[in-house]
Amino acid sequence: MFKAENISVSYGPIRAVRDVSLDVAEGEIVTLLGPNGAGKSSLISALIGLVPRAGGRVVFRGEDVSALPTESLVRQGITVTPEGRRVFADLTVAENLRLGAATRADRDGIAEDTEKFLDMFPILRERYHAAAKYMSGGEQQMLAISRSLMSRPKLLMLDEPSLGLAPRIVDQIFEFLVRLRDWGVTILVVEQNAGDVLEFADRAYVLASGSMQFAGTTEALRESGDIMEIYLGLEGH
Amino acid sequence: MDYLLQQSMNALSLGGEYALLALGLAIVFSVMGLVNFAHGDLITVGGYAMFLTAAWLGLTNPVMLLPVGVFSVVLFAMFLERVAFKPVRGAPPTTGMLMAFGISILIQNLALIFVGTRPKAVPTMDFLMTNITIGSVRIPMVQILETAVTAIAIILLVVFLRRTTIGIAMRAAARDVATVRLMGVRADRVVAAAFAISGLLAGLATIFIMARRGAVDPFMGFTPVLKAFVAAVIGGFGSLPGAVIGGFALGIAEIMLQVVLPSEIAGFRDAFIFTAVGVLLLVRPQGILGQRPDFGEKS
Repeated sequence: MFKAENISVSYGPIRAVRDVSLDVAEGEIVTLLGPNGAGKSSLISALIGLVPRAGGRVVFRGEDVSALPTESLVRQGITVTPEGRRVFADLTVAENLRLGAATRADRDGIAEDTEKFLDMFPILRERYHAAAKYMSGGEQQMLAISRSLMSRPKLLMLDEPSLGLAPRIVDQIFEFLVRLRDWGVTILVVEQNAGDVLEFADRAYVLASGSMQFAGTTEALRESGDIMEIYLGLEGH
Repeated sequence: MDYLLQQSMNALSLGGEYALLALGLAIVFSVMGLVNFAHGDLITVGGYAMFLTAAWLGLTNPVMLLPVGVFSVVLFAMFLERVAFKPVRGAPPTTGMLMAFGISILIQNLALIFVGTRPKAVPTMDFLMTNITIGSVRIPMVQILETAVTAIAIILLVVFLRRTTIGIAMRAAARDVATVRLMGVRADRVVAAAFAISGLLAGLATIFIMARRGAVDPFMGFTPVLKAFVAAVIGGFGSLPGAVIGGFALGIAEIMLQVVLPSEIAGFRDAFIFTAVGVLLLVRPQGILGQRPDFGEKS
């Protein structure tokens, strides 16, 4: 469904990502793991067109979308919940959700989806007309994910959704991601802490120092003790 | 009492003019971090558009001339964005600022070469020059209209920024353009809308400035843009409510000083104003409503 081939990202003379390929099949939950500074965020930003790629191509649903700007990729059905949530702090919850649906014109559908997320995350209903900056990190993450989903994406990429959140909240967010599969949303989730995400992901990639170190099923990753230990700081089986 | 009322109207209408111009500067700055020093020259362009329409087409009817003034400024602002500012959008902020200075010089010199140094008369809009008498006070129509138009423009702008998707996107883009793009909102559209609104506000100001001055000359844009800049700085650069407050504060301060200062030092009015602004900025460097810059936030 989504395929990135030979992607490189450079900041001046520094190569943050070199010659990386990955693919995600329809309905899958795929995780991209790696230590801090591995180039995970650079890769995601490059895939969605927010930073220029130094090479490679991106194919989405059989079409080469390498040349498309961010806005068009979102319209095609790819979206990103960015690292650090990046909710619009001065805007209300309602306004954040409305911008999430900026690509859509079906008023009824938008209202329906809004209701759906307000039911799912009651705190959003409670804070509906309050500025997003007054919410906790976990609440902001719920808003950020809901906002991404308001565009009805086919592929949702999340950049470290667990960052800085309490374990209980992380569980809640990951449970929600699993449910998204039933809605027909395909997921690529970037994480630094591999533990939780390997519980539910189908396949995993491991990126370190800008290069792909591992690609395979989560079972295969668990069995390759070195990768788990060296890059993810976890005991392998 | 009558004198007070008259001076209050003076202050409100002048403050309104500054507020319109400062808002135009602020809205472009908030969305794309550009201080558009060519903003004042938009007024010049509007003035010449009105002059040429009257001189060449013989259209001196104010009902025809007012839309010419307003819409020529809107179109010109959008044209500038497209041909001058869009190509340098990815460049460091100084590039945009230098571009704005360049445009300003270009417009002034084109006007010098093709129209001449001498001020050109724009047909007076008679009904703007009439007075309304309330009791024993005579208030010029232009002042009442200017205050009212400013108030309406501000209200409509607030509605636009709160109720429309593009308006909400503009507020969001003031803090985080990249994430606005992640919403599928085209950054181009947001910037074009900011320039169109900035042009519309400047266009409205053009009408009143022309009504007061009655003539257009190549360098007339300088003072208004300077005042608008000061007003925006007082209010807190980039803050839209700040621009309105700064505009009115500056207008009211100027009229008050004019009234209070003895005539032999009245000529130093602006020196007093700038001193006060300097003191304000020492105490509150971010202006009245500005946010302290958090470096690295804007990407």
